[in-house]
Amino acid sequence: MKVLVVEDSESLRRSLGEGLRRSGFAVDVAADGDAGLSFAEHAGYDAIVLDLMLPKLDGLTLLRRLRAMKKKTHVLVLSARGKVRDRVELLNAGADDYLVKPFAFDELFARLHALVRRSYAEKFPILAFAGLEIDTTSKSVQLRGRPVELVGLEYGLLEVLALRRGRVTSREEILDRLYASGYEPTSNVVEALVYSLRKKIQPPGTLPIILNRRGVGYLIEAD
Amino acid sequence: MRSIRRDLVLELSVGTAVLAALAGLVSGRAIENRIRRDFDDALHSKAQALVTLTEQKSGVIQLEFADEAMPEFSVRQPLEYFEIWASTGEVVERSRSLQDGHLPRRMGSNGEPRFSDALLPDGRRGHLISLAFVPQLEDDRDPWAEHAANQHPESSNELREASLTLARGTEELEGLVRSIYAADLAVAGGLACALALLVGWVVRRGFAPLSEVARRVGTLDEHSLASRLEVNPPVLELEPIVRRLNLLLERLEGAFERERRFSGDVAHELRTPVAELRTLSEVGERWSGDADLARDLFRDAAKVAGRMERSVEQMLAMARAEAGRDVGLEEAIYLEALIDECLSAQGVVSESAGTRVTRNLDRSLVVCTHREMFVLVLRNLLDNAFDYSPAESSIEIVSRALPDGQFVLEISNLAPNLEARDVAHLFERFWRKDAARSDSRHSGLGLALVRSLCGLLGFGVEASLDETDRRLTVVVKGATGAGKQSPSAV
Repeated sequence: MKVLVVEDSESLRRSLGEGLRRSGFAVDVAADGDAGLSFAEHAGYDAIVLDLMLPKLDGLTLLRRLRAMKKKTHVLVLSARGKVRDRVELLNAGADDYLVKPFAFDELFARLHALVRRSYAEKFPILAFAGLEIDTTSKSVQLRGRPVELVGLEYGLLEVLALRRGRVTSREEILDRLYASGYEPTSNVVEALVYSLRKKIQPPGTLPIILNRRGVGYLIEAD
Repeated sequence: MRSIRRDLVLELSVGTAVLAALAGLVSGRAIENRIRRDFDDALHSKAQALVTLTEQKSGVIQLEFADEAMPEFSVRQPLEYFEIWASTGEVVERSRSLQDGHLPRRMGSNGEPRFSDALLPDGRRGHLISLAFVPQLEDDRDPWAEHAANQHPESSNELREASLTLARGTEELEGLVRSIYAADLAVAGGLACALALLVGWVVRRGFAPLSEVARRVGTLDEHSLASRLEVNPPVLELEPIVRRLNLLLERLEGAFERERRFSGDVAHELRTPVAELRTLSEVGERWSGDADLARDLFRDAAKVAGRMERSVEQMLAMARAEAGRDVGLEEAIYLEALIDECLSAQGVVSESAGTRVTRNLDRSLVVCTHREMFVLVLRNLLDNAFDYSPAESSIEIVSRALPDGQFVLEISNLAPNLEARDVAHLFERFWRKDAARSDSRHSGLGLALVRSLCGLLGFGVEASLDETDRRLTVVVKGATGAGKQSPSAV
């Protein structure tokens, strides 16, 4: 999953970015509103964490412009102002959630997950299919009740495909969701990840869970 | 409570009622006078008719009178009375209506009739006309008359004179007068009531715009301070009230906005660093095994804590200054030496930024003030000047004594981002040009603190922006207090 953090406080930006990255998110960070809008315009994100008081372009204006561009990315707003009027104004402007500073990192993490699930119309944090159970909160996977050890990118790929069950996800979309902007992975990284993932989650003698649509992308079939 | 509308309706109604009553009385009086005059004229005409009918023959006065021609004098319908006397007082003729009664014999003067009131023989109130006359001769060739003329050729007065009194009951006249007054009063009363209703309606209609303003003022609350009152169509008398109310709303809106901004700024100044510290500590705790990450997070946490400390110190200093505490002893200070001391603390900053300092200081200028507080003023002013000056620009510091025992200290620097409208906000607490408050070096309290401290020290402080070269100048001015103490070495 890929998120954008737009926050002008350097320490908050760095700690949030690092925390989310280590929690399995691909994270882009922006220090001002202009940069944040540019990121949001040109890259696909599962969610945006947006500070309200930003230099160059304030968070509320950024949000309005984003919605004016018909961008449906879920936005979680961070602000020091927590009055009902402020929250109502933000929700009316198109924000999906709101956290008042100071906040607990765990709460931010949980709310981000909820937003990501909402963007894929998933209500439950555990995705279960074909004998697999993917806990999107703890980022853990079980196959027929036994834990499966996955590295970060393997888990990320499985979650992307699992959340889009029944739909083909292109190689570019996978890369976009797994890597922060500006990172250039090796050309066959997706194929390598699919190969290693299949080995870990595919019980011997069963039909493949991850299907390859040659020239189009990969998919996990719907139940 | 007093009501202008009720007072106006009441006063105008009573006023118009009194005026209407007065007008009724005056017009009633005029009509009464006319009626009475007409009554007198009619009485006089009737008397003249009786005079015309009275003749003398051979010295005997007689009246050719027939009851049928004048039934008002009859016994059957006694409405009027007359009585004629000869000059000797002998009754010559009297109306049958008098029966046994008599009328008073009053003589008019110089042939003029005399009017008077009296009770009539029938007990009614009556009006009388009395006049003296010479009855005409029945026959001009009356030998008695010729004899009399020969005896007294110079005068015809030897003809016999007579006097007449004619009376008529006045009950009809008085009834008519009373009914006229009653009608006048009724009209006045009706008019007063109608006017009261009209006045009430007019006043209510006239006050409608005021009621509308009151209604709109009643709907205002802290969320609608941006709205302005309007009277459509404009009303001249309400215009100053509405204008002043709108000015008040504008001031209230500004005050609320400042308060809102202040709350938001305080929230930002305190909540943001707390959020930073919390996230830093939580992320550090979650991945506590990563020494590199922990080191970075600790370093950030220390920076945030340092920034918070500065903010809190400034807020405390601000609170102390606003409460008027911490006023220590005054001492005489060489201003130049004190400025140099503060500048030396800025040395590293100015060198790294390439900022030049131009000093034009009065070496002998001594200011008697509270040293620590004044140092705080100078450091904040210099901090601002250095932090906001573009690289390679200059800061000018000028001090001089004024002839009236005052001193002036000017600190100016280039402020390319500042606009003229910003100057009014410079001394507001937590005000920053950057609404996002991203600059972690400042909290927006420095100049507010300077103003509070200067107020405490008895100095004035002002800022101005030269829009041509975009140079901001902060001027501190006050009494030197020279002569209070001898200056000490800094």
